[in-house]
Amino acid sequence: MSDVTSRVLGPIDLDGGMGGGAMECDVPFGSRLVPTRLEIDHPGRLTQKLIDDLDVVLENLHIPDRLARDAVAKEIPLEGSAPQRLFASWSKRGDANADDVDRFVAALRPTQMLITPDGGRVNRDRVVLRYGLDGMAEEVTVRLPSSPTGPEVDRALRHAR
Amino acid sequence: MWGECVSDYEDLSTIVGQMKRAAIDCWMADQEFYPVSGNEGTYCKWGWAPYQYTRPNDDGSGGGEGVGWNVSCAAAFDDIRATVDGVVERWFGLPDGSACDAPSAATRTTASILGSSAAGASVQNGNAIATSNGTINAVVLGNMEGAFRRPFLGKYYTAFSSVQGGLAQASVILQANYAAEGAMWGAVKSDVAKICADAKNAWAAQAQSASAASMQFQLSVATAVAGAVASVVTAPTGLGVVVAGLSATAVGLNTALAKVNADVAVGGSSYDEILGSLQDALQTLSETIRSQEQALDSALREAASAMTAEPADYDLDAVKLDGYPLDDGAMRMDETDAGIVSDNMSLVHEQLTEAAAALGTGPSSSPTPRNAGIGLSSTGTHASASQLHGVTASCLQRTRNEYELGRQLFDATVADFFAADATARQTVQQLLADEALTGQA
Repeated sequence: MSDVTSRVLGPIDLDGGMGGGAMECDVPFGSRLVPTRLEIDHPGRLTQKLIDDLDVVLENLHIPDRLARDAVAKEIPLEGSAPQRLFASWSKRGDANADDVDRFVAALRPTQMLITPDGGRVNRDRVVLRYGLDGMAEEVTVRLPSSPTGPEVDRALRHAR
Repeated sequence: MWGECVSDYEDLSTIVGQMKRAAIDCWMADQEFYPVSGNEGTYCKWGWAPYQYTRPNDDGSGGGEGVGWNVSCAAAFDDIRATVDGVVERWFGLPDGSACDAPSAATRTTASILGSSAAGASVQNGNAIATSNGTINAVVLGNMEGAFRRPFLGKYYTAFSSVQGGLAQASVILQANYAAEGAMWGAVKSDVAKICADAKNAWAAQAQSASAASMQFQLSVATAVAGAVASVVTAPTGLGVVVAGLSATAVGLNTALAKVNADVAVGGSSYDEILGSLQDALQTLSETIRSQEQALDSALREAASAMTAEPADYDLDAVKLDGYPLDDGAMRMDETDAGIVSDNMSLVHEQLTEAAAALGTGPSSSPTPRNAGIGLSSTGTHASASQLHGVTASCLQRTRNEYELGRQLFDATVADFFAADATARQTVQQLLADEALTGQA
């Protein structure tokens, strides 16, 4: 176990070796606890500063959550996009209105979070969020990379665990 | 988002301001901070995380303060700005080369009057001296008799022809220098602006996580200077042509400049790499200018040195008049032929006077001053050009005066032959005595 501790994740205890390590835990996300995986590419270079910086993100998850939901909403009009297909499935349910994008976006709930804070330029993703809907088997994936280009939504829908 | 692209040297201050902001953007991007979409006055960690710093203005000033956090990286921004200034500042205030126009035209006129074929076809009266000289030789050799012909033609035809050619070549080398310096700086300005703009664009592209290809190009100053000199110095062609003396120096200059062929590349995948490529590119530019000015300087020094070492090839006053017999009993000429020779010697003298007047005194200060560290020195080739200019002007002035004495000697010889003037013999003897005193040999 390293002597690095996160205010949100607790002691950073990575499995794996010099080639990279990971730990899993549940993180408070709104009113839920979301299964979260932290992957560190360079355990030898892990510092308290890196985790302190990460804590600021984890303590303000409403920011990536808002960005992710905005990205999903933006892609709903795009034919063939994952948000469009998920929205189409959702809107076929009895209580949904085909035009109710805001309600759809608000109904999304985070189901998984992957954090890769030291991916460098090889892996630009820093936080990857999975969102699902109650009663639906498929989920949409939103990547928040280290980039000026903003969030990216995967084209593929994935099955909920 | 990244500002207008400016690549004109006259806007270098603007370019440098844009470079500073692009460099800081890139430095921040190296640490995964990016301008926030919709709020481009700040950087965010990863482009979205809640760590924000203010971004510099378009002109590169300001920025670096934490937003909502009591932190600052303004000192690091200041260091980057100072670094960019340090790399670029010596390239401000470059000359435009226009001060070379007058000396270039003056030396061109002098070279043309002295009969250099390399002076340009558009210049009038390029063959006047050679034509008169040929007439003098033909008339004295073909129509006159007497032992005086050998020393007379030896100095005032054969040796003078050599001096005339030498002075013409010295003028061509001077002209090549001024033409090169005149053509150089517009190209240098263009190269500086392009290098800086490329660095700015590379930083901007890298800051956007878009790895730009390294921008490679040939410095325009290389071809500009080589072209300017090649238009002045024309290498003799044909089999068996032996290029000697200052012609060899001029052709050597041409060859040396044609070999200067500098490529630069600006780019990289981080702030530091792009900064290094910027420094390297500007250093290559400086070294290219230095190589070119070194070639010019060497030609100028070589010419001045040759003129000092072998004065008889460039200064008629340094040519000894061999024994000048008046009473060999074989002298024969008619007055018309004598008049033709005298008239043509007057024409040559007039041409030499015009050539000397055109050459003038040259620039009193460097026509291409620039900051230290660019090219050969802050004054470029001025010292060597001034030296050659001075030597050439002195030799031309003395040659003109000496040639005039030769004309007077010929006229007195003719007067003595026809016994037209009772004092003619005395005049001849006085001129010969003066010649013996002033001749260098």
